[in-house]
Amino acid sequence: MKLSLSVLLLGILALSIPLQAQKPSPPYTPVIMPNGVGTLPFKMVNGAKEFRLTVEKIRHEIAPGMVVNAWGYNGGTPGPLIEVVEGDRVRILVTNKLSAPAAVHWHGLFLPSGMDGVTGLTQRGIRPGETFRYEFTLKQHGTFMYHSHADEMVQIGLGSMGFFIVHPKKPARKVDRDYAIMLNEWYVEPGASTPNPNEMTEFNLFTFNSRAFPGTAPLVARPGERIRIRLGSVAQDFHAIHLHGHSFKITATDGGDIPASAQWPETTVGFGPGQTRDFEFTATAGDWAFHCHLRHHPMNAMGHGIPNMLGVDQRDVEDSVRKQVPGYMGMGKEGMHDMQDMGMEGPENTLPMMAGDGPFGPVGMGGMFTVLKVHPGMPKFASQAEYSAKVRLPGDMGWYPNPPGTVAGPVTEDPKTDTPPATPSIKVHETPAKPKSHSH
Amino acid sequence: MDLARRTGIAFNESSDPSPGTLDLSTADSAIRLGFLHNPQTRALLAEADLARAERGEGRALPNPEADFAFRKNGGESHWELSVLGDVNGLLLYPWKRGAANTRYRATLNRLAAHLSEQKTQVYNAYFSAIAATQIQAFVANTAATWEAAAELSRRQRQAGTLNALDLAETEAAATEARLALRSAEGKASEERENLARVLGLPSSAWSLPDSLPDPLPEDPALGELEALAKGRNPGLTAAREESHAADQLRALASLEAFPSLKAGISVERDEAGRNFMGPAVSAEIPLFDLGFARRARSRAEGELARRRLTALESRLYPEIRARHQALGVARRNHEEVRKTLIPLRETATAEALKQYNFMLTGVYRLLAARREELSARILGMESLRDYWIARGELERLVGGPLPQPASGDKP
Ligand SMILES: [Cu+2]
Repeated sequence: MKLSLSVLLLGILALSIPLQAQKPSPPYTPVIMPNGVGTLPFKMVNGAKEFRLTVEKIRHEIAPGMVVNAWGYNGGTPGPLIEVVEGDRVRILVTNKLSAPAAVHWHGLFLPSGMDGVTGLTQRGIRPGETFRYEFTLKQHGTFMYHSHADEMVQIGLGSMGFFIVHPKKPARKVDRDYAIMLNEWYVEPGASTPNPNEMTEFNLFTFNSRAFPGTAPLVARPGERIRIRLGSVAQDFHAIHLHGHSFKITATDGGDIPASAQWPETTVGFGPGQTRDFEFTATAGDWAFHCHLRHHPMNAMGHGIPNMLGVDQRDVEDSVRKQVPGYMGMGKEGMHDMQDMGMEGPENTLPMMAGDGPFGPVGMGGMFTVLKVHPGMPKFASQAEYSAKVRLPGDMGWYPNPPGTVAGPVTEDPKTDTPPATPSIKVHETPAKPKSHSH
Repeated sequence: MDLARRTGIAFNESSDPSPGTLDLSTADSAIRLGFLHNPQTRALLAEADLARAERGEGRALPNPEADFAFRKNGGESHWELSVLGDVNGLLLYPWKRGAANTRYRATLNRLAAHLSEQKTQVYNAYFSAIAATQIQAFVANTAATWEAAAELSRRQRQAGTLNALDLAETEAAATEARLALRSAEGKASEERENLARVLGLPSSAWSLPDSLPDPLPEDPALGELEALAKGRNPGLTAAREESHAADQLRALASLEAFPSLKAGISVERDEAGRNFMGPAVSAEIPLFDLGFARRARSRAEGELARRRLTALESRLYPEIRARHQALGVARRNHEEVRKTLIPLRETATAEALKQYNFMLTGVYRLLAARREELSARILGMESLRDYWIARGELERLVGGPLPQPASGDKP
């Protein structure tokens, strides 16, 4: 039985190999959007790559335990990745399944003005049920975006955005893994489920590819691999995305490549709304935090105007409050960590302000936070679909096995047990700049 | 006793309960105790005994009169005896007896009306005392939420996380809550003393149940109450009987217009020892008092009784309608508070706690949610109290227990 099953599987594999072999492998490393809905397929029609995008209302999970009513493309926010090569002619058929007019703007691309997708200025709005054709030839390469340019405050505020990535015809260099992460901000009333697009400044959800920690998928690599991360932002605010344990160089913006002579090393990429940044580095073994450095951005919803209880001893008063409201816990005297430790119940469809578990305990993060996992033998992923099937949540693909003596721990007074860390046995790949230790 | 039937209360229980075992678990037990102990009630019961004696007087037949004269001169003597009966009195006896009976019934009903009023006072005092005690407990909780808020604010101020304005406002609110609690405590003990007064028993002799009973499944319809009151309201019945008695007395007064006539027998023995016997008659000579004033008085009394009856009726029905309206409002309010408002306020407190847990709101908002919940409970207790008081008033107006739906239990 076992034998026959193996034979059968081998047979299927043998049959599928020639099929796969027929598919020409692309001249670039396919881009992966962690938690993305996939790469948009195309058909060659009259010499153009023809894509179909549908603007529609969707239910979108921000993280396990929180689902919002979003407006996205082809079932996702961000929408599917449009991935093409410089010189391609593209035709994008956009169908509007909203009940409101729509338009798609191709952010950063050189194209005829009438294809720019700005309601009223370059076209009329796509009416509900209509399909519009956008067609142009790609004259540049880089990381670009597409997003709604109709009632932007509502439509982008509810998630109508995606990546449009154009690979160079002749890449100057090839990277081993190529990731893309789109930043956005939302306001969802705690316990509610439809983002409030009228909010102008006080956002309470900060997302990577429309996911918030602990719902973000890690980025994976093997030590020594060349990694590119592309960031795009349709958010309202400036963000400072910081990668632990590495130094990187920003190689391109949505305006074009940055000459090598003009690149300088960084650990944080700061950029604003409507910008994209590509940066590259060589991966160093470890589990490395990757997050926005604005303090409230790697955090989930928190109330405004809540009393500051720092240093407020609640003993015995806590009891008199509990007599009125059973289950009350006095919190905040020594900071906000109590909230996470107690595992208390919150409103429905709301993420705790600080959450997530790591190999050493609670991580206490949220929002724009994820992990770059650089582990020896980390698998390769040929497509977005394959990636999303295996890597969805922070704990997926395991945790880095720290070599003995390389983990910080308590100092003891006993000289016999308090030994200095042993020299790491793992071989650390040489990086352009020596890995620095950070505290975020 | 006749009064028991007229008030619907079995108040003439044989033995006094010994102190410390006084049962006040239901309103009716309070009513019974009140009838046993309240001195005013005892006085009313004594009046009933007096009225019965008066009826006996009024129903007696007139006694015959005897005249006896004895005269003596030396060895000779002479005597005379006559016995006269009151002819008018005998002829009018059936009318007099009827009027005495009617008056007696009217007096009993008048007493029953007073007893009903006392019963209502006990009802009101009983329900008000229980409700005030309950409300005091809710207000105490409200004050405790403010006290906790004030204490947290003081500690925040010490820790440097609160400004003087916020602290002063919270402490002021906590002070106001203490004032409110003091008033609620005062009100509760005032209501208990009021109950002690109408029961005629010191408040140390009894203790009250923790809460008021729920409203009955159904209350009688207005039409039913009006019909009941027409036949059973003791004040109305008394007025009707007084009017009837006045009519009877007026008829009597007309008959009494005839000059008083007495007739009988006269016996005489003279000095020679001979007996003489013959009829004797004595008559009033209607020369000065022709009886007009008496007849005018009885006519005026009849008119007064009729006017009183009309006045009573014109007051009674609007009052029944007003109380019935109040009963319906109190019942619906209580039901909505219990079934809707309190659960909503509880949900709000639970949701505020969840928000607090996730640092989406602060402890002060959480305590405010709890206060709203307590306010809802106070509202519920007030409407329940108003419900029972309205029922007590209606019992007074219809002169006895309200008709009960088959399944209803009386509190
Ligand atoms: Cu940020």
